[in-house]
Amino acid sequence: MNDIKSIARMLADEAGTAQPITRERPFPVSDMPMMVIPIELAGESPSLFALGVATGANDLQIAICHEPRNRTGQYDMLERAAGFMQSIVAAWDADPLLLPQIVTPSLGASRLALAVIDRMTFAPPSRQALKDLGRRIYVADSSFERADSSLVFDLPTALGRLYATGQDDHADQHLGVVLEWLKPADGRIHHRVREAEAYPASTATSPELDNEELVPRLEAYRTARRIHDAAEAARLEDEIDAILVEEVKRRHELMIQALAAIRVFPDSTVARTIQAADRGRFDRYRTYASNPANNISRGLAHLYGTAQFLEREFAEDLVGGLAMRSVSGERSAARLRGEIVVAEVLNRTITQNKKAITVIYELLSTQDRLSIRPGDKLVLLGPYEFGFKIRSYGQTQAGTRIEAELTAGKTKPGQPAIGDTIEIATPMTDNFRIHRTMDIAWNRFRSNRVLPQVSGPVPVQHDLLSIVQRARRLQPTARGRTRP
Amino acid sequence: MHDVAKNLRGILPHANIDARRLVLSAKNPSCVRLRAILMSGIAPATLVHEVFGFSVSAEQSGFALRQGSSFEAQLYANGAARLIASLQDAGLLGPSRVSVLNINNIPGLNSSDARIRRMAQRSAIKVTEQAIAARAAGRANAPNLILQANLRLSLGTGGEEVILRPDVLYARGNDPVYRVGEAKSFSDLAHLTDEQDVATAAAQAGVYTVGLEEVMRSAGVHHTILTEAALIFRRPGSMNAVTTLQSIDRDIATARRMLAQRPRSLSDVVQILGPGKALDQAGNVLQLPSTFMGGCRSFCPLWQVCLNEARAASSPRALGTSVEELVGAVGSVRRARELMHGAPPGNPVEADIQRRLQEGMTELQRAVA
Repeated sequence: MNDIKSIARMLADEAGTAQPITRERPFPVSDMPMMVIPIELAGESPSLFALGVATGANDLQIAICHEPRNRTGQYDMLERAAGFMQSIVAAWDADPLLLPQIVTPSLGASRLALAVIDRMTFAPPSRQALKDLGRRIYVADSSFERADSSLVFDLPTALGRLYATGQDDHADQHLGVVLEWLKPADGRIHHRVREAEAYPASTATSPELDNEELVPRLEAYRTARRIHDAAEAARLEDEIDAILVEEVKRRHELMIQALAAIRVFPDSTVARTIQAADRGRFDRYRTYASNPANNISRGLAHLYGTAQFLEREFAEDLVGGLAMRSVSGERSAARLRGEIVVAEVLNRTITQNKKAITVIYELLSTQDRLSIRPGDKLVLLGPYEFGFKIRSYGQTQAGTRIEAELTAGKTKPGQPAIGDTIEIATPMTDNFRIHRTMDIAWNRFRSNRVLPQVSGPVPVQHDLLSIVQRARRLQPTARGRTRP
Repeated sequence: MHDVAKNLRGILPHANIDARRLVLSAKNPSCVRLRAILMSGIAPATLVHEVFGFSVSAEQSGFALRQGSSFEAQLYANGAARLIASLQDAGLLGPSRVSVLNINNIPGLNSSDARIRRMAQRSAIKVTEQAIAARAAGRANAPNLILQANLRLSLGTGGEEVILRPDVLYARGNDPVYRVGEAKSFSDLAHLTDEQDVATAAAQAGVYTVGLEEVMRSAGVHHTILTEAALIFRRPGSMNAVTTLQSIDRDIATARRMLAQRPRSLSDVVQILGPGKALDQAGNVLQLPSTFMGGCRSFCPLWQVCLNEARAASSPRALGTSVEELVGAVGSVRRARELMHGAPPGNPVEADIQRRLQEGMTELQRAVA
C-alpha cells in the first residue's frame, strides 16, 4: 500500500464513494475469461456443493453435487462443469490473441479453483476427460500470484489496484462491499455496506443458511436416499438446487459488475506485457501437456521450487519497472517513495580527455524522500533511457543537490539540457538485484537433498504376515514384558 | 478475585475461557477491551448481543462443526492409530513403541454433575502434570503422546484461571520436553492450504506452548521449551491426517506479549472502569480502550462496536493500518483532511504531515487527471 492509496482512502471516506487511483489498468482482462464460482461445503474444502462457470456473457452454467462427501458425486459434478470449461479452453486454443484467464470472486475462491483443477488433473484413470482438461489448464497453478501473470485473479484484489474505498484492506476483500463503494455517493454508504456484508461473496455459504436451510435438507436427503424414497430425494434435490443456484447467481452478478468497472480502465504497457507472457506460458504448457509421456509437476517441491523462485523474483523486478513507467498511479507512487528522482538540471559540464568524454550533471530535487546512494545507476525515463551514475548528493536549503555522471548515450542527441525537469529511476534490469536473487537460488540449490535416480518400475513387496508377526512379538504382555 | 470477576460480569452469564478465546486476544494483543472482557469470563458474542443489541452470529456452520468433531474422533480412535501413523510419517515419532495417555478416559470429565466434573478435571490436571514431570525426569513410563492434556494457565494476576486442552502433546524417544500438536479438520492442500487456517492453528499452538511452559516451570522443570508445533490437518477426501512441523516462535512471542499486556489483573480493569461498574452496560464497555484493526472482522464479535466507535471519532484506524501510519500522529482523519486542504498546522508534527499529504495529493491528482 502506498501513500497515494491512503490519501485516496481519506477522500473516499469523506465523499462516501470510491476514488480512482490510476488512469490505466496495470493488468490485462481477457475478452473471454473463465469465471469460476466454487461453493464449498463448510469445513470440507475442496469438496464442493456447486461450481459455476461463465465467460462474462449471459452463459452461467452451474453444476451441483447434492452430497459433497460422496467422491463419485464430486467427480460427476466436476465432469458436468468440465463440459463447459472445455468449450472455453477450446476457444483459448483456437484464438492465439485471446488471453487465457480464470477469474474468481475472492482470493479464497482462486485457491479453491486451483484445488479443483488439481483434483481434475490427478483424478482417477476412469475419469480421463477430467484428467485431460486438468492437464491443459494446470499451468494456472504455477502462474498463481506471479507478478507477471494474471492467469488467475480475484476481483476484489483487482479492484483494489484501481480504486480506493473509505474502509480498510480487510473489508475490501468482500466483493459485494467494494461494489457498493463504487456506486455514486448517496449519504448511506455505511448502511449499504452493512447490508452487502450480510451476504457472503466468497466460497462458503453463511453459517445461518447452512444451519437453517442446508443441514436439515441434506440430512433428509441422505435419509431419503438410504430408504430409496426417490420422490422425496428428487424433491429435496430441487430445494437444495434452488438454494445453491441462488448463491452462485448472486456471486456471478457481482462479478459481472466488477468486470465492467475494471474494463473502464484502458490497458497499459505492463498489462500488454503480462498478457503476452501469459499467452506464451499457456501455449508452451499446452504443447508440453499434450504429450501424455510428460509428467506434471505437482506443487513447488525441490528444484522446481527454486526455478519458480528465480522466475518470480525476476518477473517482480520486470513488472515493477514496467508498471512504474506505464501506469500513472504506480508512477506517482514511485515518485512519492523517491524511487523516481524528479530533478531540475542546474548545470551540465562536458570535459574531454583525449577520446574520453565525461558529462556531469548537477541536479536539484525537492522531493521529501529519495531512494539513492552514491554509485547507483539510474536511467532517464524518456524515449531514450540515458544512463546516469550518482556521484554524490547533499542537502541544501533549496532541496537535494545531486551530482550525476552521464554513462550511457553520451553521443546521442536529446540529452537533458539546463533548466529541464527530468525523471530518473532504476533501470529495468538491475545487476545488483540479479546477483542477490542468484545468490539465494544457489543457496537453495545447495541445501536441496539429492534425490536418488530411479529408472523403470520399482518392485514393492507387502509382506503383511511378517509385519503382523513382528508386531505380535513386540506386543507387551500384562507383566510389561514382550512376548518371546 | 472471583467476586471481582462476578461483579464485572454484572448480569451477563459466566463463560469458560478456552484456548480459542485466548487466541482471539492474541490476535490483537494491544486491545484492552477484548482482554478485559475475556479476563472477566464473559463471552464477547454474548456481550455484543446483550449489551449492544447487534445480532452476532458466533455459531459455526453445522457442516464444519460435524466435520471437526468426527475428524477428532477418528484421530483418537483405536488407540490414536491414525494420529500416530501421521506423526510417524512426518518423522515426529519414532517407528516403535508409542505409549499413549488419553486424558479423556478419566471418568467424570463429561459428567452432568458439576461437582464430579470439577473433581475429574482436578485429576486430569494432576495426571497431565505428572506425565510432564515424568518425561522431564527421563522415566521410561512417561507417555509419548498425551491426548487432550489439561494445562493450567493464569490469565493475568488474579484473573480467571484457564484450562487449556491441547489436542496432542507428543515427545519422541527420550526427549525431555513435549511439543504441542494442534489438530484441525482443515484440508491439507499443500501449497494451496488456506493461510488463515494455518495461522489460526499456529496461533492456538502458541498459546498452548506458553501454557505448557507455565506448567513445566511450576513443576520445577527448567528445560527449554521447543518452538515448533505439529499442525495436523485432514487429508482431503478422507479422515486420515497429514502432519506438518511448523515453527511457532512468533506465535509464542505473541501469546507471551498478550499475557504480559495490561490489564494484567482484574483490579486493573476495575481501575479503568471505576468501582462498582459492570460490563453489562454499553457505556462501561466503551470506557475500555479498544484498538480496532481490519483483521478484527475475522475473529472478534465486538468488531462492529469498535469500528462504529472509531468512525465516530474519525480515527485513522477505521481506514486501515496504512492510513494510521500516515496520519496517526495528528489524531484524526478529519484533522488530516483539514491539513491536506490547507489548514494552518498547529505544531511541527502537523506541518511535517501536511507537507507529505499535500505532496501525495498532488501526485494523486496527477495520477488520475
